[in-house]
Formats: sequence, C-alpha cells, structure tokens
Amino acid sequence: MDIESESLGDKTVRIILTGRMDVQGAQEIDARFNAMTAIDGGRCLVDMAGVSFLASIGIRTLLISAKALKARGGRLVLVNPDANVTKVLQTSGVDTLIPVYGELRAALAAVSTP
Amino acid sequence: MSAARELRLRNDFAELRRMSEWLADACAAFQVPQGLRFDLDIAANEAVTNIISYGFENSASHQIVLRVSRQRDRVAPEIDDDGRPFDPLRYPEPATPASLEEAPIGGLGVKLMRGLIRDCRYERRDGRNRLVMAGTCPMPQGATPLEPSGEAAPSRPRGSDRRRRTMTPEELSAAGIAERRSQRDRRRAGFISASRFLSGVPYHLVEDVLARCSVRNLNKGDVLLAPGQMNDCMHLLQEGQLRIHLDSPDSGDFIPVQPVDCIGELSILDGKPVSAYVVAHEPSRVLAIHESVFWEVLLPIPEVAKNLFRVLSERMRLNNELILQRMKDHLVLEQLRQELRIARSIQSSMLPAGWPMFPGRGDVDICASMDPAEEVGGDFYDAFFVGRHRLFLAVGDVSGKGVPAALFMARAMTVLRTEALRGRPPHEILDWLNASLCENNDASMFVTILCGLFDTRSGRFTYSNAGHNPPYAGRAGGYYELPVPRGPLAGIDPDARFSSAECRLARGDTLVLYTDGVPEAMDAAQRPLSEGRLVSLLQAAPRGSARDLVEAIRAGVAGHVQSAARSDDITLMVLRHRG
Repeated sequence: MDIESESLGDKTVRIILTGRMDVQGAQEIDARFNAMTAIDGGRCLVDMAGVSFLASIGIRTLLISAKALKARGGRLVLVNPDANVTKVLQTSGVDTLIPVYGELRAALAAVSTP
Repeated sequence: MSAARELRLRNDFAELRRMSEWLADACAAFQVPQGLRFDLDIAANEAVTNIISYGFENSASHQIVLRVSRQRDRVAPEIDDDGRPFDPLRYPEPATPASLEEAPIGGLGVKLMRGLIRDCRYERRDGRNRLVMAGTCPMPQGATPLEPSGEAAPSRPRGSDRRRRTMTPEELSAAGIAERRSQRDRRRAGFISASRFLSGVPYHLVEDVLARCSVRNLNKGDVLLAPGQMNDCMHLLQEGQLRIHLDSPDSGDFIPVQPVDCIGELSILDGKPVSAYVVAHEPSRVLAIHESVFWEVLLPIPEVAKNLFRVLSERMRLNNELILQRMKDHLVLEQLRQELRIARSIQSSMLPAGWPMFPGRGDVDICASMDPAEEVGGDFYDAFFVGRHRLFLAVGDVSGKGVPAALFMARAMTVLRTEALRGRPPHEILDWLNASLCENNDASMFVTILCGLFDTRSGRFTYSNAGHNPPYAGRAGGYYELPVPRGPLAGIDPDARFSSAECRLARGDTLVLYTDGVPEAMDAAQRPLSEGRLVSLLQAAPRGSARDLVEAIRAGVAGHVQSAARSDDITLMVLRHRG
C-alpha cells in the first residue's frame, strides 16, 4: 500500500491511502499511519478513494488511530470510500464510530467546527 | 452450468494475496458480478486469516484448500483445513459499540464475513473444518437452459407401455391410495413422488401395494411407537412432524422426522422390538406398510432396496451428527485453552524478533528473551532505533493474566512505540503512557516498565521507571544495581509524573534489564531465586556476547526451577556497549 500526507493547515492533515488494505497492506502502512495521526488535538482526513479493498485487519488500523487521536483531543474521519469499501464500513458498523464523508470539503467543514 | 476450481495454500499470511488473485480469476471465469466478487474476496480473506492465526497448534506447514464452484446461479467458495475444530459461525455477533471509546479493536472479521455473505455454513468432517460461503448471481449470458431445480421430475412422454415408466404425481393420485378424492391428494402424491423410499420405482410394481396400505392419523402427542413394542409395519410420514425420542417420550433430545421420512424399518429389518419412542409433534398422517408387503413385494424391487440403504445411511449420519454435537459441547474447555493460546500468540507476536537483535550493528550488542509461564502473563520487551545512534529499550510486566493482560500489553507497547518514535525523553514517554493507560481502564490493570534511550556513541543511558525492578550495570569489577528514579505503576493515577536518570556505560560495559519473574522464579519448594543469586549468576557468567549472557542466566534460572511449573513469565534483556 501507499501512504502520503498533505498538510491542510493548522494541525489538519489529509492522509491519502492507496491500494489493498488486507493483511499485507495494513502491515505496510501500520507504523507510518500511526505516526502520521499522532498529533495532539489534530484533525486527520483519511482519503480512502484509492483503497480498493478493506478487510478487518485494515479496519483495525483505522480504529486504533481514531481512538488514539480522540484520546488526544483530535478527530479522524474517512473521506470518499468507494462503494465496496463503504459496504464494508457499514457491515462492520465502523461507519457509526468513525464519521465518513463523501467529499473532502464536507469533511473539512465538519472537522473544523468544534 | 457447473464448474469448479481448486487452490492449495500454505498457512502463511503471504499467501493471502495469491489467494485473492486466484479468486478474482476464478470469479471472472465463472462470470460472477463485481459486487459479489468483492464480498467473496473479503469473506475468504477473513476466513483464511482466522485459520492461519488460530487454526494450528504448531508452526509446521499446513495446507488450506480453497475450492470455488459454480452451479446454475450459485457460486460457492469452500475453505477446507486440517486445523483444530473452529466454527466461526458459532460465535454470537458482536453488538456495535455506542462510541469510539468503547469500541473493541478486534473481532470484526467474522462479523464482516457473515454480514456480507448471508449463506455461510460450517461443518467438521473427517478431522477437517469446512466452511462454505455461497452467493447467488444471475445466470451468465449464453448459458445452457436450466434443468428444473428441486424435486420436480422432468416430464416424460406418456406412452401406452406403462410398465416401463416410473410414477408421475398424476398417476399416483389415481393409485387407489386411501382418501384419494380428498383435497390433499395432490400434495400427498407429491410426497410419494419425492419420497426417497419409493422414488424411481416402476409404477406398476407398487400400484397395488399402495392401495392396500392403511393411513393413520395422529394428534399432537400421540405415541406411534414405544420401546419394547413389537412392530410389524414400516411407516411413511406423509404430513406433520414426528419426533424420535431415545430415552423418554418428552425428553429434550430427539431426532426430527419430516414428511417423506420413513420409520419403523429397523424393527422390521431385525425383527426386534422397537427401540425408541416415536411421538407426533403436530397432527400427522402416516402410511403403514405391512411387514409382509415390505419383504415380499417392495424389497425385491432394486430401487426400493437402494432407497432403503440410503435412508438407513442418512439416519446413521444424523445420529453421528448428534453425537458429534454432544462432543462439541465438551469442547468448551478446549476453547478456553484456545483463548489462552490466542493470548499467548498476541503476546509473542508483538515482541521484536532477532537473536541477537541487531546483528548488523558493530556499536551495540543486544539480546532479549521472554520465557512464558504456563498461564499467560504479560511480560514484554522492546528495542528499536529512534535515530542513527539512539536506541530505545523497554522491559515491562502487565498485571493479570490471560487475554486481558495480552491486550493491555499490546496497548502499552503501541503507545511506547509511538511516543518513542516522536523523540520524547523517557520520562515523557512514561507520562504519555500512563495517561493513555488510565483511560478506559475499568479493570484497573497496570504495568511496570523500565525504559530508556541508549546513545551508542557516547554510551549515555537515560532511563525512567514506572514501578519496575532496577536494572543492573556490569563492568569488569562486577555488577551493581543502577539507582532508579521513583515512579509509580503506570495505568493507575492519571496525575502521576515520571522523571529520568542517567548513567554512562564505558566500552565493554553491560546493562541487564529483567522482569520480576527472574528473581521470583520458584523451585519446587517455593523458594525464589532472589536478586542476590541473580547477581551471582551474572558475575559467574563467562565474558561473551549479550546472547551468551542471556543464555547463561536462563540456564541458571532453569537449574533453580527444575521441574516446578513456571508461575510467571521470565524476561531478560542484555545490552553490551561496543561503541
């Protein structure tokens, strides 16, 4: 998997994930994803558009960082997952724990309001 | 349309990608639509991940077989493995937690699998687990016309030679069966044609027989047969439901008898009294075929004999399954053991590998070991470079045992790794760790940790302590305990603050970190090894590599413990400065 990040201003970062988030994919990005989202009071917009596959091991990666970030007073949201990945988020119930937005602007607006 | 493919996988996570690629090819060949392909891919990934993670007791190579078949509109991947019995469908579906803070991190794989593929089935047979996950998809373009599915027989030409034909429902309804004019005739005829017992039997051979059979109507609770009774009829259930009870007519253990099943054939066959109760569970209707008719007219018909054998085999199989179910209930204990194994594997999979750990480095020699207790404790160690010459070290011990301890340990290690990589000094790392562990810690678990940063150029060791045993520093003159800054256990008091201390190691000096499992290792008479003895072991050890020293101490501890059961994990980390 590929992982890139782009700063969107004060403590706000867009993290772009690309590839299959299966056992191998999650292993490839786990440590970097953890480190990138470890921002006190940070806002992380995780761009899922390039993620073609999401298994429970990948959900685990997302949940760990989302929880850690929330504990640090920050927020993590998911942006623009494709139809298949959306189905996985819904079936696992993760969409009720981590907010999911259809596009970046809406996500940005949502995390910017306190 | 019917086709099948098969793939053999090793129990190695690296095989998952190969599996997904193969599955994509198979689905494409079987013209499975995209949405279902994705669902099957997820389900197969989850199922095989589970098998690789928990299925095998040893690390030997095992084979997992994936078969995909398509029949008509049904595509059904099937996963077959020889691991320990594991039925993923047996676990209750976890509820979705109300908030992110309460959400558990794991357990989603099975939920996903069941959520995406509604038709999952599991069976254990011949020492293998078999999981079938079926989906339906539209018939592909250009497929051959379907055969009728289900029981309906293909239509046959109606010739004048009735003798060569098998029965059709229409003919049966005219076969002189009792009450043939009733509204139920057609349904009953359907029952006869679907009956495994009489299916495929040439019509003219049973025409008279069926007309001679008597029909018996039963009310709910009526006992058709009872143990000890002599029985001279075989019964075919036409409508309703009967139950076979082996011990008493109202016991909870029963074998259901559905319409088209036959009963009483055993007592006809061996001439012995009935061996069980047969009770009507609802109003039922039974066709009684007398023994003499059975032997003289029916059994000589090859199709009847064949059907009888089939009925008997199925009955036997059902009994086997009931027995198996009882055995499964006895496996609860085994499952608890498996939980411990899972906890053990969580624990050991978190620890860094390498023996010694950074064999390529000339400036530091470091080696660590964790020998698990019988029950799962929560010892851990970690070591990694946070800069070219800055090595982070930690040894810790989580309170409690079992899965909760293993998970708490995983939490602690994750925070340590994250905060250390951010370049914080040791006492700040412990501040963060403590704050993080205090949250959502309803079980009041805690951890003791000694962690530090070692500069491989200067030999400076900066360390902080959360309620852990002080490390030893060794030099040519002997080993001495390093003074440790005061620090409480982590995970209890959210306001606790930690501080750092430092020392400098000269070239050739040794640092020994350990958990209390070492000095407290008990022999058969419950005498601990003690700190004094540990120092003697260190001093007596030959001057070799870090690994030699770890092995010498382990041998010393093993010599003390002998055959006594280990009650706690035993963890050691040795660093030798070579800078």
